[in-house]
Parts: sequence; C-alpha cells; structure tokens
Amino acid sequence: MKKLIFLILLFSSIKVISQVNYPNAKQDLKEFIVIQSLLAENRMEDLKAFCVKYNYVTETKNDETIFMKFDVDWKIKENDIHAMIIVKSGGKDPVSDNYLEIYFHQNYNGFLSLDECKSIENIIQNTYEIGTLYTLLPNSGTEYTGVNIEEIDRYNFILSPIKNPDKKVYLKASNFYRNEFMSGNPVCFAGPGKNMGIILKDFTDKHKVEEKYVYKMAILSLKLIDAVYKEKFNVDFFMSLKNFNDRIWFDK
Amino acid sequence: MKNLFYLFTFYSSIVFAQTAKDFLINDNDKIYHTSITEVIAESKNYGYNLFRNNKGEYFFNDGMSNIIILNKNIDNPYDEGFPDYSVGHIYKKYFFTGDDLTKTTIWKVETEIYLTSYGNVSVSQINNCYKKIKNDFVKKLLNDNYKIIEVSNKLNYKSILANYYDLIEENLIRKPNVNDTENYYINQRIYSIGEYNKYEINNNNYHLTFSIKDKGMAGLQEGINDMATSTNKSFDNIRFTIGGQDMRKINLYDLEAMVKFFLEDCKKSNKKVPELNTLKATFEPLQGNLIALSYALGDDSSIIIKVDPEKWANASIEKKWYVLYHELGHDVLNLEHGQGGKMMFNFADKEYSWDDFFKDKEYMMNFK
Repeated sequence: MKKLIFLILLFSSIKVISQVNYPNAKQDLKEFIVIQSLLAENRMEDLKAFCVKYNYVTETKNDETIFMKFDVDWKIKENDIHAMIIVKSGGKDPVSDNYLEIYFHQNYNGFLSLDECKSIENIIQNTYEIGTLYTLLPNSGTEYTGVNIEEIDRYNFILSPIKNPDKKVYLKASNFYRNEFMSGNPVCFAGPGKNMGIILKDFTDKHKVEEKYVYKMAILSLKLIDAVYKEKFNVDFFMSLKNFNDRIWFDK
Repeated sequence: MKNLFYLFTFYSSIVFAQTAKDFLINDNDKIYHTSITEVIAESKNYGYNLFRNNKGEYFFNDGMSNIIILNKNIDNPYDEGFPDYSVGHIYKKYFFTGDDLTKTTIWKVETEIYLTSYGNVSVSQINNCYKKIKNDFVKKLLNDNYKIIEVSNKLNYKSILANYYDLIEENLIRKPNVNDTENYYINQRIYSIGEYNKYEINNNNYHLTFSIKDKGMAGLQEGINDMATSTNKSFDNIRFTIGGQDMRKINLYDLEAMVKFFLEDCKKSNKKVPELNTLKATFEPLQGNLIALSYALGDDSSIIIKVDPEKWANASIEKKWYVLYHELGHDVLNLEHGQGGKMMFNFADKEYSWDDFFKDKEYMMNFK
C-alpha cells in the first residue's frame, strides 16, 4: 500500500513537471518590468535598443503592438512556457497610459488547463519574495505603537505586541509587496525609475466552451507626480542584478 | 634561381589569370569572398573607381545591407568585348555583411552597363554585344556545375541607376552533386538578367543589368529587413498612440480633438493638466506668416488658439501637429520662446518630419 502511494505521488509529480516548464520565468519577469518602465518613461529609442539586445520581435495587428521573444539559441524546448506581450494604450490615472498584457502559452497554444495556469502562477511567484515595502519599516520613519521592535539588521525586524509578546511579526524588506490599498491586493514592485511602482495583476480566464483557461498578467506603472525630477530607469544596472532584492530601491 | 623563376611565373599566373571580361561577368566567384578591400584592389587592374557621394563617402547601407559601388567609363585598353568606339559606363554594386572591409561576406553582386548608340556604334552592335555578355555570364555558371532549377520573371525591377526594368528573368540555380545539407544550401544562387532600352530624346542609352546572389544569405538579409520594417511599424504604433487614440487618425480640422490629444500627451508625460473653464480653438485668418497663435499664456484655466485656415490647409500633417504643440506649449505649459527647446522656437522654420516632432516634443515635455 505504501509503495502504491509512493508510486502515485511520483507519477503525479512527474506529470506536473512535464506539463509546465518555464525556465526563463525570472528573466522574463525582469524584462517585462524593463519594457513597462521604458514605456512609462516614453523612451522609445531605448525600448527599441532593448528589444534588439534581448531578441524581441515585434508585430502590429489591429492597432495593437505585440512583442515576442525570438529564441536565437534554440534553447527553448517543446512544452516550455513562452510569453506574448501586448502593449496597450489607454491606462487612466493613477496608472500610466501604456501598460502590458502578457499571455502565457505552450507550443503556441494559449489555452491551458487550470493546473497548468496554477503552475505558471506558482513558478512566477517563486521568482520573487513578497515582503514589506522599505518605507514601512520602523527605521524609515513609520511609527509603530504598542509593540516592541527588535532590529536584526537594516532590512529585517521583529515586532512583538507589548500585551502579547509571543505573537511575533517578522518584517523583511522587499521590493515586492502586496498593496493593501488597491482592490484585489495586487503584488507591486517598488523599483527604480520615474514611477511610484509597478503593479502585477494576474488572471486566469476560463475559456467559454471547453474546460480550458487562459493565464495572463497585466503590468502597469503607477504614475509619479514631478517625475521630471526623478532619475530615469537604469536598464543596464537593473538587468545586471541577479536577484530582485539585491538592491532595495526605496532605500535611497 | 630556377625555383624563384617558377614561383614568379606561378604567382603572375594567379594575379593575371583574370581579364577585364572575367572581372565583368565572373561575379559568382565573389560570393562569400571575405575581403571587399581585395575586390577594390583587383578592380583597379581593369580601370574601375570606387564610387563616392558628394560628401566623399564610399561605404553605404541601404537599410538591409552594406554596399560599395565600383564604376568605370567604357574605353580602351580594357577589352570587355564592347564594340569599338563604344561610349558608356559600367557600375558594379557589392552587397556584404560586416563593417570591417577586410572581413566581410559578399552575398550579392549587381552589375549595370549602359552603352550609347551613335554614328560609330549602332543599336544592333549593342544588342549583339549584350547578347554575348548574357550568354557568357550564364555559360560561366553552368560550367561551374550549376543547374537551373526554377525560372521566374520579376516585374518593375529598380536597378543601381534607379532605372525601372519592365521585366527581368530570375533563375534559381543549384549544384546538384552536393550531398550534405550544409553545402546544399550554400550552393544555391539566384541570378537575374534584364535589358532596358527605352528610347529617350537625346539619350540613346541602352541598359543591361545582371546580378547574382546567394539564396540563403539573401533570404536572411530580406528576413532581417522585414523584421526591421515590422519593428519600426510597431514602435511607430506605440509612439503615435496615446489614450488608445492614434494621432494620425485624428481629423486635422477638428482642432478641439487635437487639443484634447495634446492634453492626454501631457498626462502621459506626467505634466499637470489644469482644470479648464475655456477651450476655444478656432479657424480665423491671421496676419503675416502666422499659422496659429495662442492667447492664454499664463491663464491656466483657458486654452484659446486661433489658426489661419489657408496656411493650415497648405501645411503638412507633421507641420500642423508641430505648430499646434508649439502654441499649446504657450497656453498649457506656459512656456515662452527660448524655453522648452526647438519646439518653442519663435517660428516654424522648415518642413518637419515625424522624427523632428517626436524628438522636439520629448524635450519640451521633459523641460524643467
């Protein structure tokens, strides 16, 4: 019986691995952030250069601009997940005019099973760590009352209520955080450039007829007032970072 | 000494193996040649010069490939088989990849000849001469074991000298005895031949063009070109569209719609757009050379623009937008002449391109 359970578990895990493979998830997410940031800063020439450098091909269909990565090294295997980016215009305040709608597909088929959608969602979410926005940490001016604050280091704190000291809360600085003030509490990226942050919203839309789903993500920039005075997004520096939290951007 | 003499003879036979006629027609030998410098040096033996434009430049790019052009007057002492006392010119255009002229890959060679018929050289002499050149060009390829695989015609072909040939014959050729896949593709070529002898008053020039290109490289170059065209179109689509509206599709006689697009552009550029009580953009005759004039500089609650209908009608689409952005630079952004860069210069001093518009607009929108 034990053996049977083990075999079933092994089989299920193999099935999941064979269903969804997205080795470029982290790199893709970095590139989505760059593309969105350059669009929000209206830097068309820099965006064009970025697309050439990172092998994106572009196409215009029905007045919409589509970006797709061209696999120059033929490294992407069958069943790997690919992203197709559609540049949209018409974002209203507080988000910038241009935003991205990204469709994830496998072998040019955008219709996926619910499990496959969940797997893509998990893979992408595992590329970053959700934490606390740097400006909400005790050392950057946010006042916490009725709690003891233990500072581990500049980016890590333990908060414990004075009345209930065993109920500890860990605060760890991260560029990715959940925005509690926006509907759906989307994940936001507090990054560089002339924006207040980048919103990542993901959707799993059910196909009308079959038991198939489309997994897509919207990436939008929150506008910044007086952006003229802020430093523009440094593409080369951002792309050279290995992990998303190698630099906490709001720690000026 | 004997060895030295042998070596000298051997070396000389390599250098002087070609004749002017060989250089004219043996273009297939140049495909995959890796040094443009060597081709230029060799051409000097047969009287060719490197073509330069009026800036002295000789290295060109047509957006698809790097190019050099060799040219020469048809005269003695080089015997290419033209009739005696011929008057005319030869142009040879080399397409290649790579920017270092000693490390290139030539993928296409195109030749255009013209001869002038006059008292000493008749039309039939020219036709016979062209027939022989065409035959020799093809014969050389067939002698090199190429077989013709596919024949087609190409209409309205534009040549080096920007002549339009009504029809040219295009042939796909291949070396059939090559088995391995790599060489199979390397040994596919496309050659074209066409004649153009449109009679023009005082210009009895008779043209012949022939070219040879590597099929794989040509496909790659054309693919890159298609991709570049598609990329430019895509980026144009992004830069022309704000708020989901493509500015090229806005009615240029609906001034309010144009002003509203400008306000969307301000929002996109994170410029503060004031609450408006008055938006008045009207066509009214203006004195002098003025195309448009703003009347609400310093009044953040109003936009008042007057546009001269006659001058507006005669202006290009680019100039219309440029002028309107200038006036709104006063009215909305409160900029004076001398602030905000070229777009806020005192007068519209030239015909503007879209590139001028976007470059100058970006500066104005980012002006602190």
